[in-house]
Amino acid sequence: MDRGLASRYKVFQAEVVAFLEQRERYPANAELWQDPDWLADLAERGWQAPSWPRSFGGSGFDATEKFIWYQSCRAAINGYQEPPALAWVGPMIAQHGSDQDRARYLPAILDGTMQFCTALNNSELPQIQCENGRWYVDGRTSWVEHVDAAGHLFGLAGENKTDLHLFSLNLDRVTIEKTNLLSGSEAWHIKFDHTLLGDDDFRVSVLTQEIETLPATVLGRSGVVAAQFEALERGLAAMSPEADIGSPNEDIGRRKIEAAVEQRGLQALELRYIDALQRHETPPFPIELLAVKAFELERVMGALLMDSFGYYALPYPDVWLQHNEGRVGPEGAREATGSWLEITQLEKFASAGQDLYGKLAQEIQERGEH
Amino acid sequence: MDFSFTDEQTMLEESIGRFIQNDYAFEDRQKVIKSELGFNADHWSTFAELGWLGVPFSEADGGFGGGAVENMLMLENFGKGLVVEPYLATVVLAGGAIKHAGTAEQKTQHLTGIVDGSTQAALAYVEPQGRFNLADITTAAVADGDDFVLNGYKAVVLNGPSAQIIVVSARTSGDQRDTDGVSLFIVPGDAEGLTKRDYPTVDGLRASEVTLENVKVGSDALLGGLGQGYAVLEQAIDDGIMAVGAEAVGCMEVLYKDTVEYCKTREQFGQPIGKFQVLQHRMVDMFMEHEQSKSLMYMAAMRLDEGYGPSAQKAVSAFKVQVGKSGTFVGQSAVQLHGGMGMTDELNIGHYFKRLTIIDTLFGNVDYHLKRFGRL
Repeated sequence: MDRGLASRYKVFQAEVVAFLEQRERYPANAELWQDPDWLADLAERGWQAPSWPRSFGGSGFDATEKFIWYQSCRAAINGYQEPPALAWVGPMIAQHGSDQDRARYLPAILDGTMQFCTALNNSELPQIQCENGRWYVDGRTSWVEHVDAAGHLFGLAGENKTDLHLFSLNLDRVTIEKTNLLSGSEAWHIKFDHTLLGDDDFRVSVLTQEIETLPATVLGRSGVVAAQFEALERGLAAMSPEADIGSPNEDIGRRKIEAAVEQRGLQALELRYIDALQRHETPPFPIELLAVKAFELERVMGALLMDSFGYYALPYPDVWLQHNEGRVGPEGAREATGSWLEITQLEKFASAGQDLYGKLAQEIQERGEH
Repeated sequence: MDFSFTDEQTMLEESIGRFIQNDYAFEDRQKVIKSELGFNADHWSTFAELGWLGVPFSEADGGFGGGAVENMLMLENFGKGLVVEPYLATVVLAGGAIKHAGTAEQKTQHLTGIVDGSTQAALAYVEPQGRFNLADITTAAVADGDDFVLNGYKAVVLNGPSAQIIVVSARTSGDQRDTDGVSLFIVPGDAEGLTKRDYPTVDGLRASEVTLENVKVGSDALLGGLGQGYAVLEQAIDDGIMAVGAEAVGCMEVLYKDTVEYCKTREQFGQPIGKFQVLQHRMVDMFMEHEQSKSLMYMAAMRLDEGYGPSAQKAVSAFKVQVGKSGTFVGQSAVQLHGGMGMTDELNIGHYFKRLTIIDTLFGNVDYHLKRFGRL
């Protein structure tokens, strides 16, 4: 057993950190992926698609490199997340699509000309049916993110919950309705009212494989928590300098130490998972476990951040920045509010509740049978 | 980053696993813990024959040359079988103190017997007023020519009844809670002036209250430097935490697996109770607590093997916090999900629960180690 990274991974880690440190400040994640300089910098190093295999123009990172990449990015960039097209639509098409699909979509995703939004979170799936040789879709898909930047939707439709379809969003009889989220960001509801699908747009591929979206959103989340700890320390130093066990602010001190122990636990879990992937072995536990632990801990951290910054946690992050940039105030308060809101939101969208528990329950009951 | 085991480690783990599986039935254990000795002497001989009693000692001392990882693998399996043989007290605690601080003569004299199974040992470090503070010592050792005279009282000395040698912490200088001035002495279990009041613990082990009344030992009984025993004691206790923590991880694995199995077969309202979502979620939590404890166990073992110091101590305390919280949760949940059966003496569930509860208290509970973690 060896806890440390092999020397070649240390070199890679140093390279990634140095790359990320080239910028003093990063914009919000969504803006980052529309910044041509960022995309050019990534492309220059061959890092424009971190989760793609090299054979399709991706970075070709192995499991440990991916982990280092995500952890470093999430520590350096608040809310770092690759757009859905890069994070998993591309890898899904690469793995399960036809040669025609790959040729049509992958280069366009890679050069940024084709953006997707993804719709997986439906209680009632939109229905697809054929009438006189023409295909129509009816129904509604909800809580879709990144619709403003996307020309295509990739998501579940039809009767089978494992079927994935690609749609163009530039069609008649498609209604898009925006809603504001807690964090100040946006999501959309898309309604299809007997929408006629174009031949080129409809059903380019029907994918029946299990959707594996969680690894892309979960691995590396100990980096998020580590970043939150730094913000927490700043907050405590500014607002509650006596927060420690045995001090008048003992409660917050104890919560901080408990969270620090939990952080170690999350990190250790994550490393075990990555180690198994790296050795091409079945991970010792399902990814859902990491997701639950990560989101639980981030929620704890979010609450601690809010508490540590006191009143400075009240404004929305952007409002705080607008009014307080350059003025006296505890740095990192925006991270407190932002983290707390993002976490609350993230937990909802990642189905950290019953869905994950349900999958884990099934898994541990099945494990005993093998 | 590599969480795999070497071939030797895998063989060690498999051999202990086989022993627990084939030769350590729960029903036999129940008889053994009610016997006068409190453990199975034949098993102890087997441990010696298989080389397990020498695992943490160097090859020069007749051991296997193993480290924290090897100890972890052994104790995790011991936890699965609820092993009552005094490996912790003899090999990890007393043997560990001698390993860390003993002279060549002391190692030859005592470790040889521990490794071949002929010597039983104990570490007497607890005092009633001390709670978990290792330095809170009123037992005094006063120089008398070339000898030392020990007076005092030691509580809950694990394996005290069988121990032929007892490593005793005593104050040779300083105030009651000073870390300086603590010395360790290797005292024969039958020394004149040493009396033991023996009793069983709730988890099936044996312990003694030890009174030292003008117990005279030679200067060759001093373990480590005079007044420098605290650091040795702290390291031996951290080894002990690693050991009981690994044991707890083994206990938790059995509990969650047995509970899942029970919930798949026990029927209520015409269906297995494992179909009820509220119970499924509880089992998922048990599974997660076990996995997180296991992950921190690996990290703590690797840190200890990298070298003993503040970062290893911090990792050990984090592990103990996790084990304390997780063990309590998993143990209580297993009892609850087994219903009335979980409360009976005949079923193994309650015995794992008792062991986990005791492990939380041993060497400092969750509160104590949270403070230690924060301080380090």
